[in-house]
This record gives sequence, structure tokens and C-alpha cells, in this order.
Amino acid sequence: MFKNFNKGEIKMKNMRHILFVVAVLPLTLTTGCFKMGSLFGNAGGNGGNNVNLSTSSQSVMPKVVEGSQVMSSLIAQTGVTAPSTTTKNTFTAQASNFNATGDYSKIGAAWHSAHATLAAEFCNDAITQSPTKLYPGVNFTTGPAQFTGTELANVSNALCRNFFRHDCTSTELSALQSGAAKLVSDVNTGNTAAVQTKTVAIGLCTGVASSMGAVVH
Amino acid sequence: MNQTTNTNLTVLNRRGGVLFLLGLVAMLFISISGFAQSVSSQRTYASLLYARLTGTMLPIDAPILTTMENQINSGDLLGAANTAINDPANAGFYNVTIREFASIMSTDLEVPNSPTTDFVADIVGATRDDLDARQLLTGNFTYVVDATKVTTVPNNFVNDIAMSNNHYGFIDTNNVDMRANLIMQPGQLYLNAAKTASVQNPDPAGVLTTRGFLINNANGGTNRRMVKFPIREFLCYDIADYAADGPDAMVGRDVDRAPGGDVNQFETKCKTCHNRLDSMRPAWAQFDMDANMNYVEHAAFNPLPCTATTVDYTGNGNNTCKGQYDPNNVAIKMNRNSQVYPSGYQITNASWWNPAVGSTYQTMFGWGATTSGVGANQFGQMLAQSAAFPRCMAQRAFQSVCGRAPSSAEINLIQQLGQNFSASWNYDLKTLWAQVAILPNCLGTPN
Repeated sequence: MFKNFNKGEIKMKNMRHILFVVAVLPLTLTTGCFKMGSLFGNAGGNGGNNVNLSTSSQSVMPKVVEGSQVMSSLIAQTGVTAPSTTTKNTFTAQASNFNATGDYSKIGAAWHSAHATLAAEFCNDAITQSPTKLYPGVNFTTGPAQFTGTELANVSNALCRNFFRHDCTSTELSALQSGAAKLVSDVNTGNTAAVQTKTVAIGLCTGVASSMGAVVH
Repeated sequence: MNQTTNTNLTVLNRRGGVLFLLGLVAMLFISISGFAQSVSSQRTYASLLYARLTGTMLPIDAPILTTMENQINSGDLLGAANTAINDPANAGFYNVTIREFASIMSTDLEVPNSPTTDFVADIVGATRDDLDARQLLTGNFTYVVDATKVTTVPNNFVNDIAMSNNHYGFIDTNNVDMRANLIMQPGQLYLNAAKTASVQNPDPAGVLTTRGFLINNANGGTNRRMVKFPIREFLCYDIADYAADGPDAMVGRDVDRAPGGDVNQFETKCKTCHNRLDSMRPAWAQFDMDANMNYVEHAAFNPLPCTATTVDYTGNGNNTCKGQYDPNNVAIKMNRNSQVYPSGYQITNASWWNPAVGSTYQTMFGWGATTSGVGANQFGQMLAQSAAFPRCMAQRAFQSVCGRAPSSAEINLIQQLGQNFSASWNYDLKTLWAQVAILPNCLGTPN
């Protein structure tokens, strides 16, 4: 998954930690919808026509980003306008696991894993192609201790705005702070400082980019 | 200045660590607030609107969302929806949203990701070009990939369009942008009898007479599906909705009048569907697919008439005359298995009529002037003239954008949308999608 790094540079248990912590958007499944074709039944049911189209309301049914739009969405979200060959190949390899219809009720583990795998590649590409978009202020030549305080807040909010489409809530910010602390403390110190920083950055980015808030609209 | 600074420092020193921590918190807050402006509800709404119409999720700072946010702030929600639809940088509305809408209607299983065909391309192109949607059921046109722009598209008419889906399949395998690369050609071309050149379809009915639709619904069988599925896909009524007792004068000879020896079975069950389907299926009497299910046939340029003395079109080994026509220029399959009930109706021409026109069904379908006719085009006209057609399109648009089927409480809403689609929006699918997307029922409100 992280072709450009040495084996073991990123500990997947930490990745999973982030994935679960950040997936905080509450989603409600709505039931009781009618199948197409039966809405008007067999007895007409066309009722009156004095409906004010601007007043009635119902809850918004969530949709997940569809397989055909996963790439274009991630390109827009990450600013990676020229995904690497590794990223393209990852998409191809995972294509069958993405959701074909946007149907929120049809997502599962394979779908989520596919998003995480592809998101990680985009987050990696972003380090060279669009570092200021996703990682503002991060110095990729120094160590990961910089992921605290203002620097971490700036990165967190950049990730929230690009993937969640809003500023981080306190819950999201707290989750990212905890995740960052865990990643920093567990990063492989045998690697160079630069690699350690990349590892933490990609971990944070992947956690946000593959969470429900980033793939559900 | 110096005095003030010193004073502040004194205060900081006096309160020590507590103030330091508070300062950190404040810095964090200021940092977050200063990183970018907070997100307005209008901008959040714009983001959702964009995602639902194009399928693409944008970062909240995307410039096009600023345009949409401004439109929303000025009360122009429709303008915001159109901005998303017409985003010059993203043709997702056509390549994803409308493509899926078309894909669902193109196959029996109603899957949104079936291969792109001429059926799908026609709907995407017609939407892009603001054609009257009724043309989808009556028109005489074909959308193809512009080979002058996409020079590698398989473009041999015989091999890549008439005999296979190579031309349209290329759109999927190469992510061809349909908004930018489809062009409309007048007429619908079929293969001549010698299979060497194109001839004009003499009875065009929009997407109903495309290869993509016929290969799904006229492959073998008896062309009853060519009644059932157009009504299901374009009027949103399944056969069970309008099956009822009716005259059996046109029920075919292949339908047993006493299945299992029980006449009541036919009278109370079989006939309810067959009187509907069998009365209208002659509209398709002159259409068939060839024996190998590759290309569309029409009686006007049919292969040699079937000369077999015994015609048994079972498709289970004896394929004599499969894809061929009788001396009346009626596809052999239309009168297959005639031994089942020899006194049944024999189709000898393309004349059809619709028995579901009583008051109950008039209320359901809202038929227009055409409820009988000759051939496919007039059948398409019947569908296009109905009140159910625009309502069905509204229902499908609602499902597409809102991600759910309308609830029973929203029947009147769909009814109104259908009326607006026909009476005010000139049957323009782009307008319909935009109008549905900004419904409070669909994506909520921006405030």
C-alpha cells in the first residue's frame, strides 16, 4: 500500500485506530420507501395537484460516493491532479469493491477497506503534489514532533475542510489529536525523521479521507 | 507601547501557568478560525447539491461552491443547481447521474451500471441538448461518439455499432466524456439484409428502437416484453398494476386457454395480463433480433422469408426460422407455438390497441389522443402523450437525486413535478433534475 516507504513504516493497527475514531458522522437509515412503479399503485392515486413544492420536507437520505466518482472526488479533495501509477493501479485493483450505485445500505467491510487503501495512496501523492492543501505548515524534512498544537490544528482543519466539508468539530479535532499522538508515539524511530513525518501525515490523512464523513453526502 | 507590553508581561507572569494554558487554547481557536472562514449553511447546502447532481464530492473551499453559495444567498437555488450541472470542469451530471438514470431503464434488472449502449447515449445526449423528453419515445435520431474527436473509438458501422456494442462499450472502458464527445445523427440505422451496409429504420420510436433496448427486450420471446418494459420504465407501472379482466380477442395462439385443464385459471389469471400485452404487442410485430442476438431486424429489410413447413420457435433446439419473417412480414416468433390454441389471435400486421383505457386506467395513465395505432412509433407516441410519462420521469429524478424513492406522503409532490415537467419545463430533463434537487423534501433547505 505504501510502496515508497520501507516495510513496517506505518503500523496498520494505528491506521485502524484512526479509521474508527474519525468515523463519527451519524447516519440514519430510512426505511419504508416504495419500490419504483408502485408509488401510484393500481388505483390511480394521483391525488390533488395543489402542492407547494417549496414547503414540505423530509430527512435527507445519505448516499455514498459511487465507484465511478471515487477518483474524481479524491482528486478534488486532495488536490492531487495527477495521481501516481501506484494510485491508479490501486483504484483498478479495488474497483469492484466500490459502491456502484451510491446506495448507503449496500456498503460493507470490503467497500471501506477499498476506500482506505485508495485514500492512503492519494494522501501519499499529496505530500509531493499538494502539500499545502492537506498538510499546511508541515515540514517534511523534520521529525513528527511538529504534530502538536497549532501545527496539528492547522493540518486537522485542512483535512476536515477538504474531506468533511466543514471546520473540525471539537469531537473530530479531539479524535485527530488523539490519533496523531498515538501515531507519533508509535512511529518507527528507526526511520529517518522525514519518513516518520510522512508516516504520521499519511496516517492522519487516510483516517479522515476514508471515514464516513468523507465518502457520504 | 513599551509600558503596555511590560504590563501584559507582568500580568502573564503573575498568573503563571493557568494563563499560559488558556493562551494555548485561545491560539488553537484563533488558528482554526483564521485558517479559513467558517462554513455557512448555504455553502454546506451547495456542497451537498453539487455532490448529488454530479456524484463528485468537493472540498468545501472549491471555488465553484462560492459561486453556488452566492446564488443561494440571493435566493437563486435553481441557479445554483444549474451551476453544478453545467460545471465546465466536471461532466459528472451527464457521465454519472444521467447515465445511471438511463442505465436503470435499459435493462430488465434495472441496474445503474450496465454497459453504455445506444439507449444510454441517446438519453445522455438528449439531456445535454435539452431535447423534449418525449422524443426519447418517438424520435428518429442516434447519438454516437464523435470519431473526429475520439479518433480511437471503434466506428465501423457493421462491426462496431450494428453487430456489437463495441462503439458504446468504448465509452466505459476509456472513460469517454459523453458531454463533450457525443454528437447527434439524424435517423436510426439498422443493418441491411446483406449485412454489409446501413439502412434507415422505417419505424423509429426513440430509445425504444435502439439496439440496446431491443437486445434486452426483443431477444427471442414474443415481444410481449416490448410492451411490458416500456410501460414499466417510462410510465412507472408494472404489468401487475394494470392487469385486469378484458377482451381476449387478441390473446395469442401460444397461450393455453385451460392450463392444467382449468379454464378458470386462464379467465382469472392468464387473461388479465395477456389481454393487455397481447393487444399492444403487434406494435412490435416487425421487429426482431437476428438468430444470434447480434443485430436488430425489421420486416422492411428482413432476411429471406421462412419457408419451413412447421414452425416451432421454441428456442430449445429447433430454431427454424428464428429471426425470420412470415409472408405477412410479421416476425415468426410473434405467432410461435400456435398449436397450443390454434383458435387464438394470429398477428398479421402491426396494428395494435390499448385495452387499458377505462376510467380507472385513464386516471392512472392519463392517456392522450393515441391509444391505438400501427407500429412502434405510434406506440411510443401513446406513451409520450400520457400523463404518467412526465410523472414517472419526475419519480425517477427524485430517486436519482434524493437517494430514495418518494414516500406515499409525497405522491402529490411527484404529481405536481410531473405536471410542471410537461406544462412548464418543456419536458427538459436537465430542468427536472435541477428542480427536484432543490426541493426541501430532497436535500433539505440551505438555512
